[in-house]
Amino acid sequence: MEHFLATVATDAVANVSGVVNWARAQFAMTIIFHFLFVPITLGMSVLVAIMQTMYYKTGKKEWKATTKFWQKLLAINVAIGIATGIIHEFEFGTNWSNYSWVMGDVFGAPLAIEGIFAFFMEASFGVVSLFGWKRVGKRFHLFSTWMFAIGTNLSGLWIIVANSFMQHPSGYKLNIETARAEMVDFSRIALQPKAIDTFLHQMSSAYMLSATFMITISAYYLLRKRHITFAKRSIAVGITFALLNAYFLFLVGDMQAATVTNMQPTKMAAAEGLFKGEEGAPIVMGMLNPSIKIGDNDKTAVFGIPFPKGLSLLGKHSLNAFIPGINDLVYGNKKYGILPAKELMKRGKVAIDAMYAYHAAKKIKNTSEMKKQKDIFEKHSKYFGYGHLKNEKDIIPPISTVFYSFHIMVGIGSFFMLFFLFMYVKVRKNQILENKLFLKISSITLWLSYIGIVTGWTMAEVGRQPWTVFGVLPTSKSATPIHLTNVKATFFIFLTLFVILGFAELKMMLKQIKLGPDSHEEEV
Amino acid sequence: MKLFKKKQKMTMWQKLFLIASLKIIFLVAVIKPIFFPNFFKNNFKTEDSQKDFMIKQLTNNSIKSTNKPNSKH
Repeated sequence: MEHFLATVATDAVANVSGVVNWARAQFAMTIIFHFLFVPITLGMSVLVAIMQTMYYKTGKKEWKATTKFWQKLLAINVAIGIATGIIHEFEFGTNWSNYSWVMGDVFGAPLAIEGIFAFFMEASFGVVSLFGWKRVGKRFHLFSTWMFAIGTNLSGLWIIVANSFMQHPSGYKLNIETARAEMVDFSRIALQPKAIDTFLHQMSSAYMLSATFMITISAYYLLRKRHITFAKRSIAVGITFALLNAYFLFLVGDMQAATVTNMQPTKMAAAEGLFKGEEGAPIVMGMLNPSIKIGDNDKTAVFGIPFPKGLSLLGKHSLNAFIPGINDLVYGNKKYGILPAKELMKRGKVAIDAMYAYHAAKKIKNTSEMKKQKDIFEKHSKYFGYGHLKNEKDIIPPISTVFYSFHIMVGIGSFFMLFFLFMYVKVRKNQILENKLFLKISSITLWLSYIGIVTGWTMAEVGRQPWTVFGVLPTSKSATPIHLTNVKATFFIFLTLFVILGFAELKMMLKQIKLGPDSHEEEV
Repeated sequence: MKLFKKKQKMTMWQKLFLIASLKIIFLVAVIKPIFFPNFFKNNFKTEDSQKDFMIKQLTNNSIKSTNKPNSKH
């Protein structure tokens, strides 16, 4: 069975685009499922640590009960979500082995560091935090809870570093001899602006989601007039945390928009539906013209309310700066020094040809030819990925998916800024119980957060297309030429597994929420 | 019947431990070896043959290219 499923598919049975599409669908499904748990773990670990600190400082039993209740829900989340991430490691080795070969030496380093944090720091301190209430001293117990939170967040950092390399590769060199990317400067990978911005954006959105997790459950209790004191305390913590994060998200979102505009202009142009680049480009909040196509310069791209010069301000922090549109990036713009995609493809093909000629020369031991081809390759290697594209329009990601996912994320973030400001005032005035409509809205904020965070990542990942590593390795070249049956079979196995695990999580969570914080039925 | 009663008495922590353990065993001991063998190790005996395969993968449109190497770029 193993031989049939994972051997190289011969030309007769190879279905390259089928494998790429199914492998992408499988990766998207597994990462979305995994990501249902990750932000709650990232944020709730910090919130639980804050609540336990309150208990440590005040000695009040109410804080202890509050901490233990949220810690119990966090534990369910961790237990159900645990190991769903290792599925991606499996997929890298089988479905994406070309990608793993080329990028593994660079991409693997942050993932290995993440593994160390995940398995040592998180696991050891997590167990002490969860089961140490009566077994270790109060101070060491609190220390363990904080170390669990820090370990969890640090492991998140290394995943973001790996992802940021895919979005904006730096600190590496493509070796013509091995066809592998080699790390030349770790600091340029770990500390590049893309990684820092994305880490801050990701962490604050995970904290926002966790805050809304608390708010939604607390609002549910308040609407049913159950556990009023507990719920009021929890919703106050949740709303304060959510408000801080809503404004922090706005700031880091602005930083990230500038990074994306500079490093991935195709993604930003698609996200804003900007076809024709301009100085003082506006942001238009509205609907994408469904009939517009790449190359159309005269049609209105987005129907809606324009904010003049908004995009230039967002992307370049200057009112009159030029923002390249989709057409500029595909067909080039001499005035602003933007090369047409065809020229990038031509240069990429030079690099591919040089790699081919280098290995042909190596076979006949022609060292002078090898040196010549190596020099040509090194000169053109930054265009290597473009040489694999078939059409100049391929450099643009799916426009409507990127456009709508970006606008939904921004819409939800903007709503949160206003809503949580209003709710914070209500909390401060102790009027949280007075307006049922706002409590009802509060009770759905968790789902809005999930939509916001998933659409945000959809924009980031679909917006990176057609690349797995931006400009270097196209997605079509990253997948393994294996039998489609293998990818399809595992897709449906994981789908079944996730449905079962999803139901288990929901059932256990709902049971604990119904039991409430007063339950000592299952004391650790 | 006894087994059923035992299951009824499982605490939340025991259930979580059981779910996490079964999941890890299923993924690592069943899914990984059957469906996710290491592609390169499974198909190529030496690192050189793995490398040759990858070079071929990355240069297979080179011979079709109409733009021959041009060092002037």
